[in-house]
Amino acid sequence: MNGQAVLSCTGVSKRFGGAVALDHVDVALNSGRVLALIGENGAGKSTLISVLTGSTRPDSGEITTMGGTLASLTPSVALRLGIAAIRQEPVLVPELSIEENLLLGIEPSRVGLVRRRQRRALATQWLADVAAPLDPATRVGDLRPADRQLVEIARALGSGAKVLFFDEPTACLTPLEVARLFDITRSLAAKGAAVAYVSHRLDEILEITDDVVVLRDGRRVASGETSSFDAHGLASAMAGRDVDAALVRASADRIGEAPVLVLSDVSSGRLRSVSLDIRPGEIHGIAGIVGSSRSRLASVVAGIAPVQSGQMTLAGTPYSPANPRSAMSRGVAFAPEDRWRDSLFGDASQATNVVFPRLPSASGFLTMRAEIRQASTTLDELDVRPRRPRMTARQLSGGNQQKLVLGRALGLDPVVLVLDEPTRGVDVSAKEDIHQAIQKVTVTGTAVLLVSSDLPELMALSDRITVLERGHAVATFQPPYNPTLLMAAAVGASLEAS
Amino acid sequence: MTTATMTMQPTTADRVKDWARPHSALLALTAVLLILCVITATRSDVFLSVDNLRNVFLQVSVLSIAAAGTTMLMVAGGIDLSIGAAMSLVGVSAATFMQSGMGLLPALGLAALIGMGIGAVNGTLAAYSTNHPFIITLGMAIVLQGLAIAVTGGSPISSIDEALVDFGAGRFLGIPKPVWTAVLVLVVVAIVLRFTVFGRRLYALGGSEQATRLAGVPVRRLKVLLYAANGLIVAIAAIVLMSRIASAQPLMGNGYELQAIAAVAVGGTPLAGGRGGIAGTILGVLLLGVISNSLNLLGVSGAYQYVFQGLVIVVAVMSQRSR
Repeated sequence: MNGQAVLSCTGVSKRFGGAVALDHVDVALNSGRVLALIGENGAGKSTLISVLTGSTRPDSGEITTMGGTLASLTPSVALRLGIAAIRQEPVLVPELSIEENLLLGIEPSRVGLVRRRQRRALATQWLADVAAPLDPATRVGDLRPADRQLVEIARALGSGAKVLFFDEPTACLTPLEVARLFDITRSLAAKGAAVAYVSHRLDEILEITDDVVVLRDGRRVASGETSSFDAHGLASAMAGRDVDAALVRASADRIGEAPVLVLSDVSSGRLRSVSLDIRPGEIHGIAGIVGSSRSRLASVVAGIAPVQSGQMTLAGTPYSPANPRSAMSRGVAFAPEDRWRDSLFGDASQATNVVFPRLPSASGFLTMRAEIRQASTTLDELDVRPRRPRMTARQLSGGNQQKLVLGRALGLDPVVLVLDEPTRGVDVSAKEDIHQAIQKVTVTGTAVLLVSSDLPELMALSDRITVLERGHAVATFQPPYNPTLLMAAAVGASLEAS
Repeated sequence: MTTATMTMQPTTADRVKDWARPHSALLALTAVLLILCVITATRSDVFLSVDNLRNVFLQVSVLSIAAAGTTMLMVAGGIDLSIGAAMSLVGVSAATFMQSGMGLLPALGLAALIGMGIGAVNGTLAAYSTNHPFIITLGMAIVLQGLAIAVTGGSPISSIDEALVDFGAGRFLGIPKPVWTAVLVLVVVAIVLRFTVFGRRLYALGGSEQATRLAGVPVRRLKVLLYAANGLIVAIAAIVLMSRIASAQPLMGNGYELQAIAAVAVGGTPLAGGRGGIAGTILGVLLLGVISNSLNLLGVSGAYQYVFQGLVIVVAVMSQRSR
């Protein structure tokens, strides 16, 4: 039984528009073994999970289950075959109790009435199966994230899951909770389940998994037994070494001497006493994996998240923005990561989206024509396509939408420009346009704080890179960068700088 | 190089597309309205008479003022269910001031301040709490309704200043003065929405409150201002209504909040906000007015008028693009 392939795919490819998400990928999940799926953001991990759990249909390739070989799965077929995914955000009803959630939709009942005693017994059994010390009557909304995750695992197993996908399961867990999750994972495998484990944290991968598959740019670039790798090898495989040398910036004499923005021991949320500075004309990159609080750092500088301890100074004077407005009034502009939630107005025109924070109006009155005039330089510079300033933002491609987000921040002529994932989910040509615009703005002395999970991007653009790991600034690197060392610092692995 | 230059400037076809996309609902609504007019005109000789048309516009004058305010609110993703009760309270307050010997203009000025005050309270509660304005203003509606009844002791006040009654019945250039008032309010609100920073911010607020805040807009102050401005418009609606019925009653504004929301929704402004505007609202108000008028002329019983009006609202809203 153990070691037998229970779910596998061969030659699976998937394109989204022009972007290749998966390129002829072979993966097999074996019963009784834990498989690591690793890779940088955008490497294709999520798409692969979607394909194997039936929520995405691959363009080509086939999927083999215990029941036979198929071109694609559907969510209901996957469920029937006992394939379940535990997501980063548990899918549970917070208002209901644990037992109600566990047996939601499959309640033991008689003539439509729930048999409460039987449900309690089942729920208690299922919780015991994952060694969860929880009262089945507790409201799920009152549970800590780690316990919610346990409930979800219990639900998956109780309803007969034989193949389990864990997607970044430790992103919100404390070390003790991680240890408990590992115990559960081991006992699942011992009982013959096949587990796929997705994580950025190499120490976890090395500890818990038996086999490993490394994805990069939608291709399987390395695979084998985990014991045949070390952290160094995995980090190299993930990062790759194909950094475009032409993009690496020559050492810059445009960078000013005195720092314009200084953070001293700044703590906020999970961000723990971070100190760093940025000089005029400098691009200071921030690297870190999920859970490193890299976005929190951007929010603090942009005046969205409060500084709980420590100080910031901007151009030599204390800087403690109470809100985004006061940050903007000090010359700090922010292009947020989530363009739909935090930045764009879908039904407003390209032009309005770009000029919105500083509408062209002295008297309170304005016209669309004036907005278009003010926006036109930015729209030209970023080459927003199609060049139709009245077209609504919703109609644009992701890359062009992202250009509007960046354009809005650039239009404020910032002293400090804070960018959080400026090229997430954009196509290659938009990415190039955005990179050029970022480099260009530094020429006029703007300091850029560049937060990105895209390591090649950080290495290509940054004059310095600070790595955050679980809220701490653990290392600062100067060019030329060694992607392996950067990745190792980000995942908290202790490596010899060889 | 030629292709590059061609992409730089929008073509005429693109310009038409960028205009037509946000305006397609208006075109459809206009078509429906015209068809309805043609059908009614062929069945009834009275419909196109000057007297009847004047009557249609007069009938919808108060509603269109209230709907102008509700358009601003809904564009910004807000809502105010208390405007009917606020109209009643503003009306009976103004009448009470006049009854106690206050001059017409001071009484109306004070009434306008009361309207703005009510709006400012709604706006403050909506801005500084996390509760949805639907519930806040629903509660306020009940409070205001109670106050309106308390002010009057439950009975109508019919001693309204003659000048005001004359205004309600009067005409200027052959058009009733309440209609002029409605046109004025609609034009002002249209200009505010289209050509002011305040208006742009309202669309932004409806599009994404979080994005508006991150763009440096003081969102709370904006909301208070919005609801207060709506309160002023509500007061104007109340005064025009009072001038038309030549009295003030504690239930006079009853139902205007829902009619206004219906007219705005029919006009293409979604409850979630972010788009829409006065042009649609005018069409929505006219559609409701013309339907009611033509059903009257065609002799349809009151009960079926409700059924038909309700169906029109549902069909109009269902046929709109969801985004």
